[in-house]
This record gives sequence, C-alpha cells and structure tokens, in this order.
Amino acid sequence: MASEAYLRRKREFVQLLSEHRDSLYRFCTNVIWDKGGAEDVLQEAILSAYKAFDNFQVGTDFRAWMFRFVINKVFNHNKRYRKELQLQVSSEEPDLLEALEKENAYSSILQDPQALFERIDDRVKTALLSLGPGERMVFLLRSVEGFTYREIASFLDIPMGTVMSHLFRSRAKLRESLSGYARQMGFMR
Amino acid sequence: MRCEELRKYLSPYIDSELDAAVCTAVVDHLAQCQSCNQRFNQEQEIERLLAERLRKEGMPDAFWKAVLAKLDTSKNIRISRYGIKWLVPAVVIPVLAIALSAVFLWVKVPERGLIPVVQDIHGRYLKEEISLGPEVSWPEEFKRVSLPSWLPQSGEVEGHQFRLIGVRPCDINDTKAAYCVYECCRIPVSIFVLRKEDLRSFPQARDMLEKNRGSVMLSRRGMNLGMIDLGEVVICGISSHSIGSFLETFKRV
Repeated sequence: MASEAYLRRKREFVQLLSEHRDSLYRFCTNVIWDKGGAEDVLQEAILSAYKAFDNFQVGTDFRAWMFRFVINKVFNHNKRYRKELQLQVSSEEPDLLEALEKENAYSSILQDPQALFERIDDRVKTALLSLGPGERMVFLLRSVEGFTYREIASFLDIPMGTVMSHLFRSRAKLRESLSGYARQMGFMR
Repeated sequence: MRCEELRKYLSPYIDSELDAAVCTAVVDHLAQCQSCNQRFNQEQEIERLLAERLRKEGMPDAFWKAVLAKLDTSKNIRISRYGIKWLVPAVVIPVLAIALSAVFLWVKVPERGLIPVVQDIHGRYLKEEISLGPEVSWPEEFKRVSLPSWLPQSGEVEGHQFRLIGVRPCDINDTKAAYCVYECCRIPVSIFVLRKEDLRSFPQARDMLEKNRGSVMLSRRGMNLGMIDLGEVVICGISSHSIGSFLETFKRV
C-alpha cells in the first residue's frame, strides 16, 4: 500500500502539473507535428519527471523544471533537432528583415496587423512549420512561453548568441510568411 | 543611436533582454523618434498576435485523464530512504560542520553589508547570471506573511510604466529574502523584500533607516538605491532608473 508520503508527493506533482498542462501540451504539439508522436513524447516526459520529483526543489520554477524533461524527450524523439540547433547562423546571410521592409505587403501588415490576423487564423501554425526545428523551438520558448534567453540557452545547451540568431531568423521568416499570405489575399492598403 | 542601429536591437528590446546601457539608449531614441517608436509598437503588436494565436491550444481533457491514469499505474516517485549508504555522509557531514564552525569562530569573516550585496545581485541579473521566470515564488520562511497579494504587478508611476518580471527566494549573507525583478520603462529594477526582524543582521542599514524615518534614497555610480520600512517588512530597491517614486507604490498597495 502506498505510504502517506508517496500520496502527498503525488498530489503535489499533479497539482503543479495541472497548472502548466496547457503550456507543455502546446509546446510539444507545435514542435512535433505528428500529434501522436507529440503526445507520446509529453507522456514520457511527464512520467520521467514524476519519478524524479523528489529532486524537485520546492520554491523553484516547476514549469522550467518540466520543460527540461520535455526538451530532453523531444531531442531523443528526433536527433536532428539537437544537430540543427547547434548550427551557427552565417553572418553572410542577407538581412531578411531589411528585404521585407521594402515590400508593400509587409508595410500593409505593419499598418494594421489585427486585420490580417483576423483573416489568416490557422495559417499561423502553417507559418510556424516553415521554420527549422531549432528556430521553432527557440521562438516558442521565448515568444509563446516567455522564457528568458538565458533559460532557453540552458534548456537547449547552446550559447546565448545562438538563441538570439535563431530568434531573429524565426521572427524574420514568420513575417515573410505573413507577407506571403497578405499578397495571396490581396491584403494591400 | 541612429535608426538603422536601433533596428537590430528591436528583437531583444521586445523581449526585455537588453543590458541597461543599451536599453537606456533605445528608450531615449524611441522617445525622440516617432517613426522608430511607431515601428516598435507595430512589431510588438505582430509578436503579440502571433503568440496569442499559438497559445489557443490547450491539453485535451481526454489526454489529461490518460496521463493521470498512467501516473496511477507507474512506479512511485523515488523518495530517498535512510539506509546504510547514508551512514557515511550522516557521520562525515556533522564532523565537517563542527570543524568548519571552529575555524570560522577562530577567524571571523567580516560580513558584507546589505547594500554591496544587493548591488552585486543586481549586477549579476544585468549580466544574465541570474534569471527569473514568470512565476512568483516566495521563500518558505515568508509563509506567515501573505506577501504576493500586495505586490504590485504592473502600473504607472508619474508616467513611467512598470511591470513585475518574477520573484524568487534569495540569500543575502545568511538572511532569507524575496528577490523581485521589475521593469520600469524597460529598465530592470531589483527589489529585495526582507522581514523587518532580519534587519538585525544588517546594523548599518537598520541605523540608516532609523535615522531617516524609515526611508533612505542614495545614488552611487549611476545606480539609484532606496530602502523603505513598511512595518512587517523592509523593501530595498536598486536600478539605474530613478527609484524613489517607484518604491512609494509599495506603500500604497
């Protein structure tokens, strides 16, 4: 029979996990596009974290602690992700934002972003797919989940400069996709 | 700062990740340049809308139930048990502790005052050696004091916007404190909350507060430091941003 200590720790774990379940789920399903694969990865991460919960220090950031397990399982699921993350972004590449600024479509989006977003809706997820796995992970961890550059560098085991490069490129590429949608839909002002 | 230069800082500025000096230069430029200010607001809005769309999805209840069922059937959490393998550290650690205490009593290490320590912690935050997540976590020792309810989350002081970044426990010498980081006009502000009774470990700071009727403001090498006495707790703040009016908001909440 389970002792009182086990039951109490289990209740604590489930309580903390329930507060962050949505955040963990959407991260997995946005990084791994096959829903079944994403759910398997998340379930494995949750079980590993549960077994190691005695090592979790009360008062520290449970969400960040959980994300470490999730990211580790994502890397195990697809080894290419870790390799792609460590690629250095060449300084020779053209400045994507600079090129975008010259486009009428992007100027139209800047003037009224809300209007475009009302029309494109689920295409944001498709735009996310256009990013490499590393760029996607960094963008999701920063812009959607709100982790700091330092936390992201530590989760992914990459230098802060690489976090910034991936983030800059992911933002530029997402804006490029938005411009594409704006052109397709004749969204010009 | 020129407009072209500002553009490369927009991404880290949106993320509140610039160091204090560059951040101040960006704030100054945005205050003067309408076109860059407008561009910053537009980019920030696009970022907000992108994140909002991607935050829509949550964990389906069916999956959550499956997870709970899996936890029920999985092996239990590994809880440490006392056994023979713990015998060696159980003997060695107290012996070492006694030996070290004897050394410390013999050679008394001078303790650093409150101000140098908070300066050091704030500097480490600026250098990104310390990170704070979006969560609010208080020291265990503060449990009797219901602090989070009165901690201001965001607002405006004399036209300066501020928001809370995070709270975590920290040690100032051996004293437990809550370390809160705010941003005021996007400039980091470190706030330390100490229990009044713990101020006896910092006689210099306690005397300054007593002599100045519970409110001290200092300025050193471009850093502004302030302390206010709120009865049960003492608030100590440090930032390159002016801090006096900001600390006053803690009195009002």
